[in-house]
Amino acid sequence: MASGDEVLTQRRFGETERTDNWWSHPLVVLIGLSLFVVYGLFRTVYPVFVPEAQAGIYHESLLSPFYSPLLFAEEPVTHVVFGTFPEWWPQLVRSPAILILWAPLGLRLTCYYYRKAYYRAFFQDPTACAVSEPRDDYAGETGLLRFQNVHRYFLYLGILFIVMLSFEAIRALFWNVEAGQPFWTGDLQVRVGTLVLMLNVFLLAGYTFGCHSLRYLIGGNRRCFSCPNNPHNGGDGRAISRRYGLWKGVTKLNVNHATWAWFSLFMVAFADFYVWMVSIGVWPDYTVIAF
Amino acid sequence: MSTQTEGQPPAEEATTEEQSDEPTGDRDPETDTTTYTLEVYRGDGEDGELVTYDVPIQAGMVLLDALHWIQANRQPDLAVRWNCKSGRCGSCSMEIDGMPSLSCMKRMSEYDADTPIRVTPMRAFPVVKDLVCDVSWNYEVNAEIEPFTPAPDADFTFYQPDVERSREFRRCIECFLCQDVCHVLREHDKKDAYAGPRYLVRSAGLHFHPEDTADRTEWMKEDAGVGYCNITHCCSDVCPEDIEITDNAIIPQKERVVDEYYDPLAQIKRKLSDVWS
Repeated sequence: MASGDEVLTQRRFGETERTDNWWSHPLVVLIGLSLFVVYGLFRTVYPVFVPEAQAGIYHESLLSPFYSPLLFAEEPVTHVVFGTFPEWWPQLVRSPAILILWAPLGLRLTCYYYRKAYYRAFFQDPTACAVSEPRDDYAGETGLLRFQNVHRYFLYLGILFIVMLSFEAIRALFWNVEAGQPFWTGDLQVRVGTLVLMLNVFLLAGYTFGCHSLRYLIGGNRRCFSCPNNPHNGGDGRAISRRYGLWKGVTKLNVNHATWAWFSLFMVAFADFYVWMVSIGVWPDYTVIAF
Repeated sequence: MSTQTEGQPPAEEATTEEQSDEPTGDRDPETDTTTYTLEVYRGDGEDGELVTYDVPIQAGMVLLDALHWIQANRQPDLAVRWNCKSGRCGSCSMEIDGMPSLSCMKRMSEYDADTPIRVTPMRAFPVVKDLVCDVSWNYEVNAEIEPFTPAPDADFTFYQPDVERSREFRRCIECFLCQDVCHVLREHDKKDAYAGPRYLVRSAGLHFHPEDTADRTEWMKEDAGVGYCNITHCCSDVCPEDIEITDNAIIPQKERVVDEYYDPLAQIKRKLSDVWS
């Protein structure tokens, strides 16, 4: 008879008695996130090496979400917020994406869903439930990973980005704007690019407003939704706090947070690719409705 | 690994079930059974081995029935905890093909008759005998939690949504499957630093009771070690009561710790409200 410890202890990395395809989900996550990271890095540094007009940052009224808001640009285009890059700006970091992408990246990096996804897929911590890990030492989020607690601050920035991306989606309704004129003086047209940017904002908003931190901050931090309204507690007798409605709304999105996360991740990359392809003339940007 | 041979099932196990409960594999028309192979851990924490049993399975049988058949026909001393056989008592927790499960809730028809089913005790706790573990550590953790503390003049008038929020956590049957699957306890044995999902659920059940006034935030951070949870959702995946342990119990309490210890704006807001009040 062997020692019980020998039979029951899983020591080697990946050792498990599970008989299902436990490795398939983390593998899909690994591939999906890696593809996005590679594409995102490529598009972030692309404008450093390619003239801005060919870099796929913008096309007429369309601005790629990878570069939105366009804080600085090489040319004084309508989308730009502060103007052209200062002369002293180092050439190696002369990409509008470098200035802004840290914020949505931070939101996703510290997101409760993505934490699960990359702890499993990249750090094998664990790869899947009841599967042995590669490392013996473990500090969870008590050591260096305490920085994950900053998530709610990235959420605030994420909401700001939703506002700015919504503005760019509205701008994409107006075309053939004369130089120096406000964007709303252009022709009102819905093009495929307009729909792409709007769908992108919709999916990003679904992801951002289903955030676990928002769910907590908007009402989940309350111990009781109805107690403050009880006449006993000096309330107005309303059945339930308005916070409850907000909390329920965020909860509905939060239940499918992972789905929103993946669809919005795919869509933001596709929206960037679409603007890039249209800007270099590979794809036509068809007009759907012209008013 | 030793082997026991097939025999007849006890008469009381013969039941007629709907088609979906039919066991897979070739059936013996005389006994109306299909033979499954179970590899069951026999021994204690010191010495043990996997013993193979061929078990005749009839439609509708669950894995606990198969273990009872072994007890009745092959090994009367096979140790297995059970009570209600309906997923309510949380006694028959074990690992079936490596996944923490309630054996009374696992229908044999879910398994392939041609592949041996491995049945072992929970790995996060010391084995007493065969499939029975010593789970007493859990009760020691439970005793550390500040109990329900209503205000002296508490008014227990509140509405259904508030009842439902804390009721989810009270569905827990203390099967400890979440503790067993949690890699912090199972793989890293951090029992001295982390209370485990079960007790984060209990704490949430107390905290979200509308009339509870106790502040368990410091306990949550320092003693319960909520920071050790890296939200892999395994606890939610194995919960037989479908409690959303990670999303509804652990993350809100992680956020509460952030409020208290890591969010400077929340700290300033608290100080300002103290000044105003």
